[in-house]
Amino acid sequence: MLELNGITKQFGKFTALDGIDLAIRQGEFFCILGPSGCGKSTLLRIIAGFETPDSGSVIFDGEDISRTPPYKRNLNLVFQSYALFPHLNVLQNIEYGLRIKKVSESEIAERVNKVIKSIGLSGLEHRLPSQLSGGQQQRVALARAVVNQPKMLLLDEPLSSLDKKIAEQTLLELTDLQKRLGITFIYVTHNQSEALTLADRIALFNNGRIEQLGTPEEIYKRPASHFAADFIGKMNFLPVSYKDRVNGHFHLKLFDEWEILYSHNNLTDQKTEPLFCLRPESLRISESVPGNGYNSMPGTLKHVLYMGEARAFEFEIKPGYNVLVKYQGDNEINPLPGADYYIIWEKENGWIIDSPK
Amino acid sequence: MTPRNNRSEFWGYLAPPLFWFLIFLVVPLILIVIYSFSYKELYGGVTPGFTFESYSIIFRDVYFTIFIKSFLITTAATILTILLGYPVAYYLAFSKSKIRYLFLVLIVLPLWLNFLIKIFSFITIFGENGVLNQFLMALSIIDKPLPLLNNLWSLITGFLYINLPFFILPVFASLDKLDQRYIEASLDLGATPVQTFFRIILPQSVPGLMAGVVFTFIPTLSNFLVPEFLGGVNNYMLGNLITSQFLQARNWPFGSALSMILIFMVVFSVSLYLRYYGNTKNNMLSEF
Repeated sequence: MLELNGITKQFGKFTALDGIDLAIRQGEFFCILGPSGCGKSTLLRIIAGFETPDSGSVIFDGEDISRTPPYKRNLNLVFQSYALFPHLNVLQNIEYGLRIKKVSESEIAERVNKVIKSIGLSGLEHRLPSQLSGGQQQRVALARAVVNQPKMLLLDEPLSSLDKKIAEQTLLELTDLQKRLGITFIYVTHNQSEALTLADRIALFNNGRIEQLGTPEEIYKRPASHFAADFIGKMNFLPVSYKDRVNGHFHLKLFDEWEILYSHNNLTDQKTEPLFCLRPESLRISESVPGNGYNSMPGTLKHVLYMGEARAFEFEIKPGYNVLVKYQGDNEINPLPGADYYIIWEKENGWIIDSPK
Repeated sequence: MTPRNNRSEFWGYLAPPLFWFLIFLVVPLILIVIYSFSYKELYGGVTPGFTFESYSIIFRDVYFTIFIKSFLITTAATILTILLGYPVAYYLAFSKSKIRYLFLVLIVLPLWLNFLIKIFSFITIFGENGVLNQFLMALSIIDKPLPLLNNLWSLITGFLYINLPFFILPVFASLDKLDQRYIEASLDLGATPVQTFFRIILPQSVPGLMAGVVFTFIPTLSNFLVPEFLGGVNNYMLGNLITSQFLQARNWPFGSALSMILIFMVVFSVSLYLRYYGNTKNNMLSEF
């Protein structure tokens, strides 16, 4: 449905986008995730038509729209700041696109009413944007875009200026809305948990390039790079070296000291500087060496961090190398700070990346 | 600090400007009110009393024509100011060029010049033996000087010259703070740049535009120097009429009555402006 081929964009000496290739499918909820300055907003502006790429092409529905002005593109953008017209009321804001397109009065009324009902704006029709709360403004911005029945909806950090409670609620409504309308969504955010929750697929951006493209699970469980592993969630990184391969399992050594088993096959192309990644929630604490199927390493408990719904334990493995272990809920164990334990994990849970960042 | 202390401090700070206002605004205004209802003496003095005589003179043909004519000239000058000034303000606000700040300075620069000097420089350029005529004659484009002064055109051009900075600045201010994203949102919703101008940009610059109109319409209506020096004999305006009543005809009551009418017109138009734009965030008068 939307194809980006080799998009580059330069602002002076700053390279905002450096050869972006992407294909977004019909009906997909696609997230562009990345830290600020990674080029994600520039890409969105190129798709919307507010910027033209220095090179590369934007193919929308089989048509090259790289140089088509924004008002001739059949897609709509929900702005981060909403950009509701301050001199028009809610109704006039929502109708704007339809009036421009000279849609008949009866159809305008019908479509606007439908959208107002389904997005929950009834009763606010005659308010001005300045008389609305942040959450309400966000809904109006959404309604104003959706009422045009675009083939694709672009959303630029639509939740970033809402407070946390409302943002979480809106998050769920957004997925619901996308499923109901069947419109392709491209959602730009710097918030990894929003991306993991919402997306069918995520493109992780860094320095104007795509660092990794995949489903949320792929990106969370099998990060392609140090940046991807570090940006999404919490991750423990440990130095590792390759030893040999027996019966399909790799034998590795952590810190050149503790032998562990590794069962993923992304080791075949020899990593130059491998790093071993472990998610804190995949680790457990044990007083003894575990049995088959588990890996382990010894560590000294330094701190216990109480986080409400979870507890985190910080271990020192070697001077300068700390490992975080996370337990959900108030369960099982009560390890003592200062004491020595084994940190254990199922051998499927580790993941190796190449370290150069 | 007790409220009482607070209050005495408040009045303490306010006393000098209040005194100034009293002497130079309130007292003269009261005098004009009193004069306008008084009888005129034969040789120019004022006899206290109460009569509507001075107000009724206004409706005599000669004077009423001047009233109407002043109004029409001022309206024409204001419309031309809008037509010429708005595009300039638009360019200044939206151009990405770096020279735009130079243009802004060039527009503000004439405001530092004395009013009379501006008028005389105008005469130097457009007069019968002025720079422009001399130049055109030297090039043999014309064989006798063009009548560029002392007519309606020179009068209105003079007003434009004086007024444009006062119009351009508030309009520029309102356009410059217009969020670029409103324009982008409009384009995104399918509006062409022209539709976007009329539906988004123009409506949001109306407060600045109205401030600009207030800043130019009122001074133009009461101006007497521009018609005096650039308007010739046929373009006598309200400002000239009032000046002549005080300085030449020495009919102070009539001059005062005319001033009263002018003051009411000004108060009326400013209150209209404040009524519609006074409590919006975009109120330009509050920024100057």
